[in-house]
Amino acid sequence: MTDFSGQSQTDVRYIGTKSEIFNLGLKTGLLTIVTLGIYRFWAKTRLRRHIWSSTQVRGEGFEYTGTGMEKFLGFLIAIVVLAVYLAVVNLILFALGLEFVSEPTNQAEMVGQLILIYANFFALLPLIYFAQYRSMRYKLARTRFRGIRFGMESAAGGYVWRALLLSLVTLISLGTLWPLMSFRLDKYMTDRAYYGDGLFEQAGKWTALYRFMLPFGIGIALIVLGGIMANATDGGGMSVLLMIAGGLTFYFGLIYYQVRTSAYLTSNRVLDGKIGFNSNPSVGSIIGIIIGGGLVVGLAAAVYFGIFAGIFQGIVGPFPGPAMIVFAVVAYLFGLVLLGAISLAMITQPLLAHVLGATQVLNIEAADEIRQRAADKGADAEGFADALDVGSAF
Amino acid sequence: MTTPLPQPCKAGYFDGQTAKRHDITVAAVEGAEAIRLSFDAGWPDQDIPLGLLRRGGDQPGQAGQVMFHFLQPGDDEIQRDPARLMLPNGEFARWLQSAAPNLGQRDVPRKTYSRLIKVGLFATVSIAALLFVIIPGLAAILANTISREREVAIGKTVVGQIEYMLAGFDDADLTCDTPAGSAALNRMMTRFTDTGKITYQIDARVIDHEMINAFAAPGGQVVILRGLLDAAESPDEVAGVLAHELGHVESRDPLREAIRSAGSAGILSLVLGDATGGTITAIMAEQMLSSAYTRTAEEKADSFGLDLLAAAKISPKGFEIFFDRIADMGGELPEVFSSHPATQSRKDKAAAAAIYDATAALSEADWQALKTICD
Repeated sequence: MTDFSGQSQTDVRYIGTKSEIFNLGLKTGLLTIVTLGIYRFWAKTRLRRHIWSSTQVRGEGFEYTGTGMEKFLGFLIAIVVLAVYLAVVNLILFALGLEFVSEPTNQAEMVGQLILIYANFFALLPLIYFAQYRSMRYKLARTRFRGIRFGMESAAGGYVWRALLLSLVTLISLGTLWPLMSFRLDKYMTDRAYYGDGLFEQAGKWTALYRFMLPFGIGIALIVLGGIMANATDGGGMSVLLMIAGGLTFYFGLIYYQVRTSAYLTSNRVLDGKIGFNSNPSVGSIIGIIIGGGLVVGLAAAVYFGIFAGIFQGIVGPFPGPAMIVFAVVAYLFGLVLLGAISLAMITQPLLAHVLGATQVLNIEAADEIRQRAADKGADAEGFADALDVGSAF
Repeated sequence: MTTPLPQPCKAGYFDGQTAKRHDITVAAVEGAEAIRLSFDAGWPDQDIPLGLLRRGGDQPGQAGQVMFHFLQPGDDEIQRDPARLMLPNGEFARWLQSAAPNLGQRDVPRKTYSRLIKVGLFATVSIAALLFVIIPGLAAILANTISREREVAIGKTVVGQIEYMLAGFDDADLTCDTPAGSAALNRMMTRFTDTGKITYQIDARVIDHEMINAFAAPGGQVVILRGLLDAAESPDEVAGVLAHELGHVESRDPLREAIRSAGSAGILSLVLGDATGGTITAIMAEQMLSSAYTRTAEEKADSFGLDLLAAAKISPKGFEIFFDRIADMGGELPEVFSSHPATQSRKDKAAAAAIYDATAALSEADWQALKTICD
């Protein structure tokens, strides 16, 4: 592994503000409603352009060159493939599902329904992994820094079967091999990513991630313990307390695992054998942002939909005519846009500022030697990711 | 040029080939509508017309530098490697923002629009084929394979959803049930079932809602909304509506419609992007309420309804009168009335009613009990 002691350390800065991202989220959200959803591809593009440009190293911003049009075209193609695929899968499932639900007992019917739901999900799983890789590849191909393009090899197929296999392994091992999955999948992508002609490399060991699972594991242990106590003593306050404490530890342990794992992976990334990274975000701050921001969004939601419900109850007469239904739908959608913009400003922006601000680039001087790479012709827009809603916010 | 030209200023330059920053001085060219880049490294000066300058990425308020790139006629932006110009956020950058005319222009690669039209047509035709041909076709095939018990279960879910929606997305129980009213409704149903033409176990009920509507759900569930009882002036009118709905039940139209809308809802939510479960449910229930079956299905239900009325010795004229009155009220007609105005064959059949001795669908006492079932 490359030794970076004595090399320069450059802070990454996020200079976007709450008001900028709120205004952008509100404006593009409203345009999305007006255009019946079509503008969402352009909305995503504008949001990314803002976030990329707000991420700066030595005063130089990243640049997002993707377009809404290419996303829209990619989506149109993906949707047809997906619709046909889902129709075929569901036809088969429906035929099979009938066998399950025509069983006489209720128990069997329930099992049938569950199988139907899970089968639908698992049928989509390969496509979801495919979309994950393609989406990352597309984002890198449309990212520039100092005029030089990022990129990733075209290798989504290898990612899909590895991801499926590792998911199965994680499932069978009851989650104890989760770090293996986190590490291998990230390494697969990183080792195929480029900045100009410089190749990224993921160093480190998957076993190093185990220590980040500790709080998460304690949470599970507490829940199990509480469950055993509840069974042994017929309830009681102690077991309930244990389960609540376990649940909270479990939830925050999940965040802890994700934050520390991502920081570990970043800190062990090397670009072109010469440039390193350092990431040390505070889990406490991140949880604080999520709770604080979540409270603000929740409060705003309660107020808005409280007023909405009041008005709606008041005006619904004997004939809920088309005008009334349109009004209700528009008011409801506007509420969703408003809450989305608030959560961008109160959760996304502080998270970006904190995580990016806790990142350093080591020996950035070596970047001067990096040369442009040829354009990735096949890196078309993330149609499947858009259709399947992978990678939600941006 | 009216605004005074700014002082030359120090700036950065990325040539698009390497990630190395080159120091330059940028100056406005007097009278030429261009800027001149002078390289500290001693490369030849480069003049860039203002009209070719574009903004690079976004410009967050707190950015210390403003990024520009400039157009080179030719291939699309993704394939090109344009140089980047980094100006300090100061006087020169402000001047350039007002002087360069096409900064915000998004240059679209050639053939984008013809590609958009081709792909758009392909997607529209495919989705339309799926929604209007393939899914209804599959729904018809699937409907035939579903057992009656399963059909009844589906119907209960559908009625539950509609009730939930009519209650304003609340779990209130809207079913009307007075002993006398329910007995009256049962007596009307018995007149139909006694004809031997009904093979389903019919579960008819009245839901307390002002809409003038009635619908059949899969598996023999027939729902009358209170508004329809309020608007009806004789039991024959209600019986006519019920006979028509029973026609749909017997030919399994509601089941096909439920499967079709379940399949379509998934695809619609894909197309529309936002997929909150609640909205899909609402759309499905809404479709059921206002659902227009195919013209053939409506004619079949009508013809079945008339036969049923004749077999039950109830006059078919009530339905005609009711239809005319509802049509005069204006507004959109509910499904039960959607296949009219009456065709000639229907009028002929109705005229034949004189041949049989029709009796009122319900006694006056029963009719009053049914009308007040929700009180």
